[in-house]
Amino acid sequence: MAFLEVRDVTVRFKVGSLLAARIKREPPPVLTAVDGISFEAERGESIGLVGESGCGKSTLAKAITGLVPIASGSVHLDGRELTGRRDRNTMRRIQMVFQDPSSSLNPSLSIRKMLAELLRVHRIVPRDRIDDRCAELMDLVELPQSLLDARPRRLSGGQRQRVGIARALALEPEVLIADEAVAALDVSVQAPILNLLNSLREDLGLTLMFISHDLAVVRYVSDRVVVMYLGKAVEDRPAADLFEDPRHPYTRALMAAAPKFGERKAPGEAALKGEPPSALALPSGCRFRPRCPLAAEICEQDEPGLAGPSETDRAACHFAWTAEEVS
Amino acid sequence: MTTPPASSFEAVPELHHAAAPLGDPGIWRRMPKKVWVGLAIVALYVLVALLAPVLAPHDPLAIDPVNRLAAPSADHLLGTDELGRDVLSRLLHAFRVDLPLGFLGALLPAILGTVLGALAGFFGRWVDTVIMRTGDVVQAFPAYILVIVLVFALGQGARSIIIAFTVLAWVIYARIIRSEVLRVKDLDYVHAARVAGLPRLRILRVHVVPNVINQTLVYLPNDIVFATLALAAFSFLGLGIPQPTPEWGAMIADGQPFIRTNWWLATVPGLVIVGLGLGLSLVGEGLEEGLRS
Amino acid sequence: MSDRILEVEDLRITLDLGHRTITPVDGVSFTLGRGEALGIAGESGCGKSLTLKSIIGLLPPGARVDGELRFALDGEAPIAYEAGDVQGHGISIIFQEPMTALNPTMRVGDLIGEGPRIHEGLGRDAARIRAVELMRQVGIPTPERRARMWPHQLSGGLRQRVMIATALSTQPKLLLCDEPTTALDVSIQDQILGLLQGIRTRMGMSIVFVSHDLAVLGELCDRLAIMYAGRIVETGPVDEVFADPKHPYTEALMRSVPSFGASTGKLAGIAGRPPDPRAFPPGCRFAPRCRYAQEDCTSAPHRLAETAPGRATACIHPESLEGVE
Repeated sequence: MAFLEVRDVTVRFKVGSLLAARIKREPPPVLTAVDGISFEAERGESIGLVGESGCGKSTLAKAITGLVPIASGSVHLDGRELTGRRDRNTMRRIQMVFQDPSSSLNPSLSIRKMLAELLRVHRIVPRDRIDDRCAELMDLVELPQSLLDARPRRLSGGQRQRVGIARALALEPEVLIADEAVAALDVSVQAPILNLLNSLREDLGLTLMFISHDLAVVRYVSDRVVVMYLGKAVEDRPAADLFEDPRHPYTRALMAAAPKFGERKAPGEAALKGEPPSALALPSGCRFRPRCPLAAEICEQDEPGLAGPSETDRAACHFAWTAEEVS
Repeated sequence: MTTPPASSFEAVPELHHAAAPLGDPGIWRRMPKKVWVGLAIVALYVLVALLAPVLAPHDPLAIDPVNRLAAPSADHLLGTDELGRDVLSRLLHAFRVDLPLGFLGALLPAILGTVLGALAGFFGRWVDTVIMRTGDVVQAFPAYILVIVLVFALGQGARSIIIAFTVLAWVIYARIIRSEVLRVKDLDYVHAARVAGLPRLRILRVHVVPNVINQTLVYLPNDIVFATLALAAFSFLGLGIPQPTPEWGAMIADGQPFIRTNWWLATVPGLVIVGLGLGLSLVGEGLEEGLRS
Repeated sequence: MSDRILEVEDLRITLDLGHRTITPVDGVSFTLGRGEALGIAGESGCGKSLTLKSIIGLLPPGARVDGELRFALDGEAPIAYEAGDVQGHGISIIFQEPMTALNPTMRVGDLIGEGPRIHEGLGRDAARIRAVELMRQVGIPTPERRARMWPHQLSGGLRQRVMIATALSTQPKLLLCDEPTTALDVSIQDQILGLLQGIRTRMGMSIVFVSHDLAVLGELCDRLAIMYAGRIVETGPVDEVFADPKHPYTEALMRSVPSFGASTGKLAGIAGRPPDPRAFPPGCRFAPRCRYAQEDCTSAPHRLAETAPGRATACIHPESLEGVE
């Protein structure tokens, strides 16, 4: 039994009036943001969750942390199922770092007050040790003590992200989910934050789930990568294998589409044509079929599931393990 | 889909929402001048209210039927009213009636409306429905009818007025705060508080309310003006503070029949109200600009 | 006919912030040839966006512009011009946020047709036909139907294509691009870059593309100008700059970017923060953060010195650079 297990998790949102749809005899306006995702992570492993907008990766993160309810399926941590109603101690174990530095910190609290509140409510340390612990947390994320009494508006984007990491770590979690934690930062500031996440993961034995749309960044941080498309996981492989030899056409297209040094764009060329279909009107069979260069008849009739040599080496394509490289 | 760093000429990215004024000393330094001017005016009014018994040359209730409707003189700087009472003294003592009632008549609805709006926005579902639909019903009633009914039921006087205002005016605060809470509820720092397992009421109190209260603060000075004017209107209609207590609206009403001969009886209290309104408007406008960091 | 289409000489932009003024663009010079694509790279606060906007006269009120901007209005040599001369007439611009850059109260077809109607005097029907044709050119499927849609009904990628179509509707010689793909998904960004490359080749259009993403610039541009703290610190052909940067900032940037081919050793990053425009350091503005900084760097006047034909750097000690692997 793996440390963190996500089993067939589905998350749905209502996007219109159920009553109106029933009157008009239309299908219920329900958006399935996450559609039966399963994967697992060992303690201390770093999983990268990759996909473009609308694939459901952020929603999945929120479901794992308990921010949004799970429609079906379950999440298990260390053998125990995490239900909709979680007590405070359970919530402590999974924490999150958010994307947008301008909205991830409460503007009316100083850094110290924010950290102290968490330490106090969860009784992490005795009251007289709270200030010391705040200082330790700042050291952990390589920030000067002087910023403790500042408010978020005084801090730069990179500093705010570090504070976000400190906040997540204040509760001494076992799982840390970074939801596009560096996407809003300048490149020169991203690198130290990524390095910090890597070293914290090693030093604290954290299980890291790194969510990003940027494949190169994910590669730098993750042991394993799960690629998502329209609510489903389409590939789940060790990072080195995935980047060297992607098995799902979508992953291949994504890697081809990413801009690379030394490459020049040919006129009119595009690695992946068209746009993803609306999540409310999914194609039959494989969801990627309309844009897939390998699409065949079987793809229309039979939606491929994740399959492969092992639990941690799978792709959801009928031709994943048979087709030759498609350039 | 992802937001790159902030605009092109900021080396230090600024937060995109107004910083809460509570406890942030820097905010007061950045306030536009008009806030201080307005506050000075309001402070002056408060001072007059406090010192009225000392400043007033005569007893505001002392009737002198022989000397009624006298023109301004050294002894009666604003003359006397139709019952021979010194207008100036009545005007000054009216500060002690209108000012507290105007403030309370805005503050109590603000508090009630903020609390209800925050609860409605934060908890949603049936709490939201109950509170907001009640607000709809309240707003659907013609305000003055409601006040008349309440005053008849509870009797004339300051207490009834305050209750009437509170029952009516909370709705707009609730709407403003509710919409702000809906916006803030979805920001990442609130998500973070939830993920940290903090109790919901605590999240509301510490993480949500301080960041939405700006709107209340901006609206409040203007609402004090409205409350004062409403009080004056009710007194004008005979529903406000009962005689013989001096009150600006009542004084205007009393002076109205004599507008041709003793025009100042109605006009001067009116100007006093305008002055207060000016001061409060400056504060309100200034706060809105200053809080819009 | 001159082969240069744009000349920017010693551009200086000063902003009045009420209690003080700042100069976020401080002495920027570059030229652009016909059909050439120039990339301006830099991180937030370096002034690249303001530089771009000044070319087409879109600066905020209260901004003062010094220096010279010259554009080849009539196909001859570049000459000085006013904003009104080029807006809708020779220079177009596309922005980053497709959501806010399109008027939500106008149908997409009308938006695209507006330029031709005003600048060429086309009638409503002719403008509509032109709009549909442009939409087809930028790869919008079923353009006749889409032309009647409102911006909010389109996806981010389609909105960006609409913005490009609008920019092309006045047949510009120069297209300015202000981070147009930053807010888009990777696969859509790839499509848009292919589209821009196609338009450029077909129409011989010149492009100035501003971005913080070096790899994106590498895919589209011929030449690169790296900006830092209001100044250009390095220029050169794109591949040469990537392979052999001549400025410590460029080198540090290259080392901070996780890329596909590169090894997964530790990423460098750059310590410290860009300087506050209210208080730029003397001499070389990157010196406080530069690992190769020497004593004379803090008194060095800013000058782009040519190290090879077409290559220039503002660093006075480029020989100390270790290079990227």
